[in-house]
Amino acid sequence: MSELQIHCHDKDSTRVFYPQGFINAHTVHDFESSIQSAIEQGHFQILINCQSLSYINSSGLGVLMGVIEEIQENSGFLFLCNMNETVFHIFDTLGFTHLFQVFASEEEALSASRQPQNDEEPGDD
Amino acid sequence: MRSDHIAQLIEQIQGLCPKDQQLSRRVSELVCLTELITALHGAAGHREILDNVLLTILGQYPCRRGLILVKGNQKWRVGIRKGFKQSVRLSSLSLNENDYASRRLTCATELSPGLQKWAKSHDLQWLLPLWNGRQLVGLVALGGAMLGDPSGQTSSLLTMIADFAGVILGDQLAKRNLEILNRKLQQQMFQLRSLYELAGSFARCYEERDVFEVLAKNLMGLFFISRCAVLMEFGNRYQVAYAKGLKSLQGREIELPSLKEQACQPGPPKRETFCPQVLNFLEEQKLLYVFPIAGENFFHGWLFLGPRLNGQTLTDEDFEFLGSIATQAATALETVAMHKEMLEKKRMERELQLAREIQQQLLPKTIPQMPGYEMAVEMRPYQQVGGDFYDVIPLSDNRIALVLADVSGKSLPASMIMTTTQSCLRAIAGLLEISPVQAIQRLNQQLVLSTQNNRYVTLFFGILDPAHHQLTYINAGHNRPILVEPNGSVRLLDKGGMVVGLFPNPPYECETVTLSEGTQLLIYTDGLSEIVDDRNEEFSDERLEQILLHETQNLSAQETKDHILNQVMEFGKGKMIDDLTIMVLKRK
Repeated sequence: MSELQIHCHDKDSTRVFYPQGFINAHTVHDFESSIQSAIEQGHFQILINCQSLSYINSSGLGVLMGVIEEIQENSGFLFLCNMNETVFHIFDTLGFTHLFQVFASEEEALSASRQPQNDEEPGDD
Repeated sequence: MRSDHIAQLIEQIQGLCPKDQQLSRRVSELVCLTELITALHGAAGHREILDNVLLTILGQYPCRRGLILVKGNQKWRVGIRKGFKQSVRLSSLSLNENDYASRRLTCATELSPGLQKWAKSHDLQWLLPLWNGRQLVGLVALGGAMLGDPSGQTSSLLTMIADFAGVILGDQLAKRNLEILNRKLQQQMFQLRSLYELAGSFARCYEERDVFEVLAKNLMGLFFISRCAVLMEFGNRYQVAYAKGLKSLQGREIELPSLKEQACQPGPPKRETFCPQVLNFLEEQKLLYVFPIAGENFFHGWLFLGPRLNGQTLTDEDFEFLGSIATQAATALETVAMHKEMLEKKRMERELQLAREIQQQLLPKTIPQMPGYEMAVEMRPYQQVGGDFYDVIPLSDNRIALVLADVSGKSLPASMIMTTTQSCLRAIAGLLEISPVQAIQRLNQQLVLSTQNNRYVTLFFGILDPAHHQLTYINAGHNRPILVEPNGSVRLLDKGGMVVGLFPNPPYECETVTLSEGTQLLIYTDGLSEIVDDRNEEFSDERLEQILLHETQNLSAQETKDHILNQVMEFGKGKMIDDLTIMVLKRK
């Protein structure tokens, strides 16, 4: 069985990804091609539901960095939700929680996605 | 202490001396301090602490304006302010522990000129330092006092408030620093783990592109970077070998910059080390940092990174960390190259093996029957394929053509000419009524036309007529075959002419010898006679002659061939110097 499986659903105008398993050196390509293909199809409103994501390494975060500018240029967003403690810790350690909006639940993220977008504020430190 | 207790206490104290203003005042001060301590302990955050402190001070010594400066991240900032219409400027203010000898409320006029000037410009008259032990953690500044200068009692009360506030703020600062340190530690742990993962990822790379992918993604993820490019040298140009997050780059080439650029250090690209084309490219793509991808011996290219999206700049430590990853990538690139080379070598070996099989196929599979004669022959190529060959071609009237040849050079080039020579000769020798001289002349013409100038073939060509026991031969620049008769006479077959394939139309002659009963004929290439021992002495034609004379007269052709080969191999300890071919013909 593969270490990572990714499903996605379109909810409203947001494409929601459900990565399941580990995003690491072996699986980062799959993760990238999923996100990349969404962007190529013109989906710039992206939510990653991390409910079943057990781990993400730095190259996985690199994938997010590689697309963030394009998403922002196209007035889109990249939200994250339902992170478990390990995954949140990784995001938080590196300060990603300041760069990306993180929500407790998919509903919250989706309702935030319906609001007009504020410019993302980096941390105040 | 709870407030109802305090209220009771106050009532009790005041009941003792209801008219004593002084006592009442001291009691209210006590209450104020108690409340402050309670409030500070219960405060939810930094701001609430500052708010409580400033409000308490303003309550005890009414002023129109007041602020607290706090130390954050090496710099002083305004922690809280009240009653200011304009913003408070700190740029001209330098503040350190030494400026502030006093621990009490001090009038601005008693302070250092810098502080005085700053206080005046903001209409502030009184300053109160907040100390935590020996560390100055804050500064309260007050202006527009509404009840005149503070009394001695007020001053000491404010100083006490400052003492409490200093301790609490100091603790907060320490806690904050600890948190920052802790965070940094966690980041370093994560970096370390990433480094460990990276080593594994690099080891699994089989293509240059894989190396760049691993490099780029990890660095971008670790440092919040959304733009990245790798420039590598292709021919005399630098080309974008990999890019992520950049715009419109397909096949982008950049003029060759000067060589000194290879020596650049990790960091922001310096104007003096990069040519304008590269600098323009960097500016256009908003790339701020450069890292050489270089191993100990090789320079591969540069890695360029864009700004950090969290607004921070890379520190010296980051440069060191990133630089070491770039070096790892260089090693990975070298491994990739070695791996490719190895595959290429394996492919070459497979092809050579195939060529060897083809070459072996070209040799005659069986020796035709020659009544009254027996023959043994063997070829051993020095490398996979060689330039020697032999052939035995049946002709009309039971005659047989014997060929043994040595193409100049070794290995693949020699083997190709060998193939041409052999097929030509087969075609020519098969023609009816062609004389040996004509055959070799035609072969020469063909080879002169179809080979390079410096390539040639030495060749022994003979036609054996078993019925009449005659051998007509041409020796075209080849080692002289040794013919030994049972009576011990030795003859070297040296008639013929030039090597084949070098000059157009050289003269050739042929000779016919009669083979008496028991005659041995040894035809060979120099790979046999020139094998050397450990003193670099050649085996030599003479030794071959001696073997034929004294050791092989009663052996079969096969046995004779094996015996000679054994002797020669023993002499050279199994080491060959060239392709080796041996042909033994014996009349029974």
